[in-house]
Amino acid sequence: METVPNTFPSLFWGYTILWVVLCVYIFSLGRRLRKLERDEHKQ
Amino acid sequence: MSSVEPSASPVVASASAASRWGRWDSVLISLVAAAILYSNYLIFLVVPNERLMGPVQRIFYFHVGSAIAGYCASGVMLVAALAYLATRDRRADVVMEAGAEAGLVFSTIVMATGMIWGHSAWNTWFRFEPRLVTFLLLWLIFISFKVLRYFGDPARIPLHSAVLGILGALTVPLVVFSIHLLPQSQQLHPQVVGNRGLAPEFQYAMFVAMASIVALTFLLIWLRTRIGFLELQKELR
Repeated sequence: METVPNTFPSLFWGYTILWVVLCVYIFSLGRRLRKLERDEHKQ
Repeated sequence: MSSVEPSASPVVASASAASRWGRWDSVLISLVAAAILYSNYLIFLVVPNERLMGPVQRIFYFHVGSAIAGYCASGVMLVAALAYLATRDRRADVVMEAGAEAGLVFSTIVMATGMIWGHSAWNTWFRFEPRLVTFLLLWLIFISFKVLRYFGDPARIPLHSAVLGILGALTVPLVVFSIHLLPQSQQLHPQVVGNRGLAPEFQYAMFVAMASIVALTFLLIWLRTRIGFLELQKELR
């Protein structure tokens, strides 16, 4: 019976990197927007 | 020819419009998030394991989707760069930077997922073959764009960025067609021709993943453009 290779760790790390990169970028955008809104409220 | 600073009124109007559109952000974000969740459901719970590579083949869906997203971001960068060169309007520079940042994010994802998939499937992190080298070149151009934004001559950054952005966008067709420079037997990266060999359940998941990631790309470009307009408004006050 043919067995499927266990490549789950590679799948795990692939998607982990994908979501980490996306989340870091999205959070950086959010932080930049909040700073702008804070500066606008101060003026 | 130096950049022409837009008068305050159009920039203020642009920034105000961007702020008004912000009310739609939650709707757009919800739709894109739902699409991403649905594609993840298909990828992890619906499509079967690929017979030869096993679970790691599921990287394929977001790997290909991210590549398409990077190409779309390059297209935005190209249009904005041409608009900047034609008008010297700083707002085009803002859109160009947004496209370049999104391109960098998704090309980084492509590089990382591709290397992990390649190492798992073919025991090779990277190989000097046309598709991989040309995509590495595209990624390096996106990196160069960011380095230029940080360390370039402030008066010339928009102009130099536009030229670099056009160069980066012109690399995309090179990446796409490079796969045909060598026969499949001489390269690891698969040559995909249409849907040949792809079962229907794989095709549908691939379509949904690609559509959701491209939607996410344009959403991120829009949000980043909005931030750029607000910063430009603040600078011109």
